Amino acid sequence: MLATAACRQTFGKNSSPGFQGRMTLTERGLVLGAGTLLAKLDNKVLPFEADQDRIWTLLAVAYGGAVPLAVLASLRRAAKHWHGGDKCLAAIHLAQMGLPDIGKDAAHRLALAAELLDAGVRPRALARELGFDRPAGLGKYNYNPDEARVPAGSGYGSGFWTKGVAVGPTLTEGRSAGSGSRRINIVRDLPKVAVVVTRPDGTPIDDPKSPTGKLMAPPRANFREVYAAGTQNPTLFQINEDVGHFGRFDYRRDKASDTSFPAYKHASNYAAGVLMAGAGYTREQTHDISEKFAYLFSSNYETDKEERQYWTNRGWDDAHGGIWK
Amino acid sequence: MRLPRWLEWIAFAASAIILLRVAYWIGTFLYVFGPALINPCMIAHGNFAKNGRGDLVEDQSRDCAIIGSAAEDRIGLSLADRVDFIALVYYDQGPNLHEPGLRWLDDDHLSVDLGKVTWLTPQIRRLGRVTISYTYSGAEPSLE
Repeated sequence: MLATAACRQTFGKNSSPGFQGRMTLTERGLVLGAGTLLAKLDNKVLPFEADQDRIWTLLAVAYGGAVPLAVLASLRRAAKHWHGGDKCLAAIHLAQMGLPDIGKDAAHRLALAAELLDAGVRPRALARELGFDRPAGLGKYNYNPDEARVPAGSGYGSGFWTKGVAVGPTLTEGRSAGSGSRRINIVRDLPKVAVVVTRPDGTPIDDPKSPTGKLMAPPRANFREVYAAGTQNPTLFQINEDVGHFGRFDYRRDKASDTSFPAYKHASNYAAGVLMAGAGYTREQTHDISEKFAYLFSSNYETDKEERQYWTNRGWDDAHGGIWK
Repeated sequence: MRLPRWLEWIAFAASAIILLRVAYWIGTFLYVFGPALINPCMIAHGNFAKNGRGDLVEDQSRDCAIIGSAAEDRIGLSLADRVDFIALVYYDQGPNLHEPGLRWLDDDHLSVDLGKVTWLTPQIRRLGRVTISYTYSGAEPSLE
């Protein structure tokens, strides 16, 4: 892109002296390039909930492509440490994101993009125009109703995180309740990276309730590994670590991004059956462990029961039949 | 008759071993499943919408399985002057995975578009000052 005089003027307006090749937290906010402000500090807190679209889009412009969502999580941690006065730890989080330094051209692009957003262009529209695929979880990432917010209807800044007293409701149910607990987001659509689960002979597993008609799982799914973990004579603790919530074979939930994928629900139950078969539990014991707990706490037990049983049993049957050995 | 001192020590040691073993298993069980027993369900949060008064409607998924997944999808509404979320409707999308549409028409009227579903419960149509309208297809409300 040719840098016109107008562009250079814009670049100057959006920039401040001192070139930052990598993101830096300053008293103004999160800064990159020639002093371009990615997000300003609002009452010394970065309003990530409202600004995450802007931050992600500007980063995509600066780095010339979509950046992983995990970067936003790192930024949030860095901002928290900065807010808490631990600037060294904040700097470490920023450094550990592993993003490379940007050059002058990227800083130029960044400043222009910031100008467009400040002029009212929506981040999504800009990202779409530039051909950046927005990650599925963007827009709700790390939204936390427990955190204090500026009340709705307060003009610019409504809904932003604030240092004041929390306004609005707080969750009091489930593990997301209370301070210090994790916020889990849902991605309802079938993720683009989803893979069809195929048996070692290459045949897929049918699933009439899947959008594709086949059992879908995340790319990390490996049922041979699940079965092998079961054969290691796992303790209760290890079983929970493997197929409990956010376990390494809990394909429905991704621990790294704190995201729940309903599209992988059947794969999660299938994995539970495979692991329990590998661990030597009978079909009945597996059924008892998985069902009785759900019976106690799940309100639509009768509705979900057959489906859950079917996939846990199918995993157990396939593993017991030697498919995943 | 008083037992010999050495026999008392053996009995004490045997009891201590048994107690320690029991304590170990109870401790392990509580360590592994304690959080799940105290707070058994995990709630995941989807898209949301807030009105000018601060009432918050949100797509939620509540999962109470100890292994695998036993999730129930629901739409939760939290009024600004309340603490808890009230489940307006439970639903199942089957293979038609998509985000439900949640829209405040004004501060007192909420529109919930569930799209194509394979199952749903009867719905709460009024909560506090909020009137809720629903759009869906594919199933009739049922408690079964």
